[in-house]
Amino acid sequence: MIKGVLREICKGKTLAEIAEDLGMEYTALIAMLEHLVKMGYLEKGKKENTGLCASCPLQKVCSKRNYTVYFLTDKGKKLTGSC
Amino acid sequence: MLVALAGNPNTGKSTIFNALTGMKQHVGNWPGVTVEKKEGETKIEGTLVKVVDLPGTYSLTAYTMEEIITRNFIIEEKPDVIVDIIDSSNLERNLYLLTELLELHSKIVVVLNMFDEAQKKYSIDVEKMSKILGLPVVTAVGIRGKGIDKLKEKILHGKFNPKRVEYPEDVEKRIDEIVNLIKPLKIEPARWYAIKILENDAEVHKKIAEMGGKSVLHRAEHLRHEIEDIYGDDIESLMTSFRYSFAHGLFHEVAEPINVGGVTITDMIDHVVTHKIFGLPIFLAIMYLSFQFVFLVAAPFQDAIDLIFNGKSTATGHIPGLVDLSYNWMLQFMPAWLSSFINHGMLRGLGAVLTFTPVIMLLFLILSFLEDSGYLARVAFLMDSIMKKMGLEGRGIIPLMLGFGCNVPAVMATRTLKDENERKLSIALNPLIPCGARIQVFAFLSGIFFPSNPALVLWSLLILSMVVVFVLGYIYSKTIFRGKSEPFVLELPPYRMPTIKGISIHMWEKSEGFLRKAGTIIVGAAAIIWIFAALPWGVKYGSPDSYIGMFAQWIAPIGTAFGLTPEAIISLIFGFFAKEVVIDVLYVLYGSKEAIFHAMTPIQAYSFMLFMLFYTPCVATLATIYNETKSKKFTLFVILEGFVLGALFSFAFYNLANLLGVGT
Repeated sequence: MIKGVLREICKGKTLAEIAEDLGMEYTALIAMLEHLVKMGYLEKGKKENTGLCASCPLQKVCSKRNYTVYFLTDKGKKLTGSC
Repeated sequence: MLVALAGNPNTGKSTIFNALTGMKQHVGNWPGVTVEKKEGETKIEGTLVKVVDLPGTYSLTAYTMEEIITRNFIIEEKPDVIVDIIDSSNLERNLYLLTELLELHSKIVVVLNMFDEAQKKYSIDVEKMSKILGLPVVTAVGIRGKGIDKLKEKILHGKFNPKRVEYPEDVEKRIDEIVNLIKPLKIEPARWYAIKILENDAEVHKKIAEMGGKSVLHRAEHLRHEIEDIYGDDIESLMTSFRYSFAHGLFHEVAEPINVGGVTITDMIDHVVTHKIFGLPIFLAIMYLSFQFVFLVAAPFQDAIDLIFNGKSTATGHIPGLVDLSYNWMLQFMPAWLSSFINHGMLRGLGAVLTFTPVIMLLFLILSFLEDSGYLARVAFLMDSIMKKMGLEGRGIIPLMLGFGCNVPAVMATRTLKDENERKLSIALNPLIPCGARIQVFAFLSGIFFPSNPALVLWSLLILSMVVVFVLGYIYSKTIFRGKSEPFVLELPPYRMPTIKGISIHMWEKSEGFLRKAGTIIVGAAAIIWIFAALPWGVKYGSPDSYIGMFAQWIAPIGTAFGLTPEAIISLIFGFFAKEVVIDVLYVLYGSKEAIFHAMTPIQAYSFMLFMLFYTPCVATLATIYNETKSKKFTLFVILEGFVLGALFSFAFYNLANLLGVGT
């Protein structure tokens, strides 16, 4: 099941699409992704947490600051094989 | 009797705890950590029951302090009953913890809290759930005290015949072997320990090693590798997958969705605005209507500000504005050149900036509305799916979207891209996205040269930049910047109605930056231009004999192929420092909107805007590009790319339009 979710992420699908395709509840998928982050299969990118925008003059007004983006880590990529 | 309350965060655990214990509670910390520990007492049918509220967790791995506290409490304190409090409106999410609790304890009362909310989403077969799990299942609405008596009854008299999570035979066989191996260590629950040893759980591994069970760990490692060889996956993901599958299966067994597909208003809107075919036209239509709105509403304010500063020419003469009045007044106590410098240079520059404040504020108002409503996030998603078709995908879209605000942070945002080529691709495309400053210049010129439909002109430039980005992105990704794109998931926030306060704050935060700039760089630039237009001493201001006039005459032949007037070229040169300065330069050189209108034909103006759309990014963006890439070659490439594209589109449009005899 985990592999299935990671593969869907690999395909670049949205969370809503993944939840729909796998017949999962959206909130269950989010919890699973958080679990996978803890396990090291996924990496979570949140703009304000990355520190990348700290020096940006538009940080306060950036429309992208509330995004949560999940990336496959090397461990995640290894599990899914080639993405 | 000891009862432990377990559950995910935000499931109403504290409400149930309060309902059970009333005022008899004690709040402290778990030993050695700052995680809150709540204990309380209650009497159920005369039996004194101590209730402990465990930290909220989603799972019982050893990754967080809350998880470790929860599982250690269950193992060490051995509560008589565990109450697993489930937010039944998010049933599937909560079932994973239950699968882990089932491995730790046999007496679990399942509380389906927030049951009233859950009934709006699905029909839950509580009896079936109880039968499958072999555990008492109680429905509750903790906030209203519903189900608490039933829970108390089940804590005392519940029948427990728990179903355990069954793993495939290959795995079960090896779990059994480890259970037998750890028997001499006398640790309970043995099955849970065996599973955790197999999973290579760090905490359990340490404990077993300390107890002298190194041979067990050695054998477990061998068994682990056997399972991994059979399934081709690492053990951790395998075991977690089995539990998720159990939770997923249980959910589908007991819950029947009432609203098929769980379609919400957000889903319905998303089906339309992120539609594969209609999504893009809807976005373009929204942008077009937004621009229309901006120009329509801003026009009277702009006219009023222009009238105040520059006055108005009528059939009967010229009504003087603030610039003229102030110039004449200052002549009484200062030399003409100083009064001209202050009024024709700085005050007129300030006026030019203020004239465009309504447009800028309204543009930001619309942008804030689209952002706060959640629509802009959909635009990123929409663009991503379009870009995928063009061979570009992944996280590169976010820096590109940022480019609509300012290219500087947008270039910095490319740091999130791990692949060097994908990063360079995103940086190379970024300056081709019209930043807020360039949009202001377009808004200014469109209003002057295309008064009947300025929004359409602005809109056409936006579309052209998008097309160029897509096409060039495709070419680059297949040739010079061929990279491995990073897959990503974009979480879309739900739609919400923006508040007036929220929009106002966002609009002001964005406009403030422009106005601050206006007070410094732009007015400063106006002063410099004035000096060049007024020197050498004695020449007519801005005449061909002034420095700027001489430079304009020298540069004029270059502009003819593109339809660019010498003043336009000068403004483009100043625009290299900050794009907003272009408006300022034109105003200072020409003196009024009318003069600008008469200096160029609409075709020349559009050609000028096309050049402006792509030509070299401002100095701040270039400095950022160099800082980010540390490559002079790449920075030069970006400069040339902009110049070539700007010149190409400007030249092609101007000459084609002339050939066809349009607008002359």
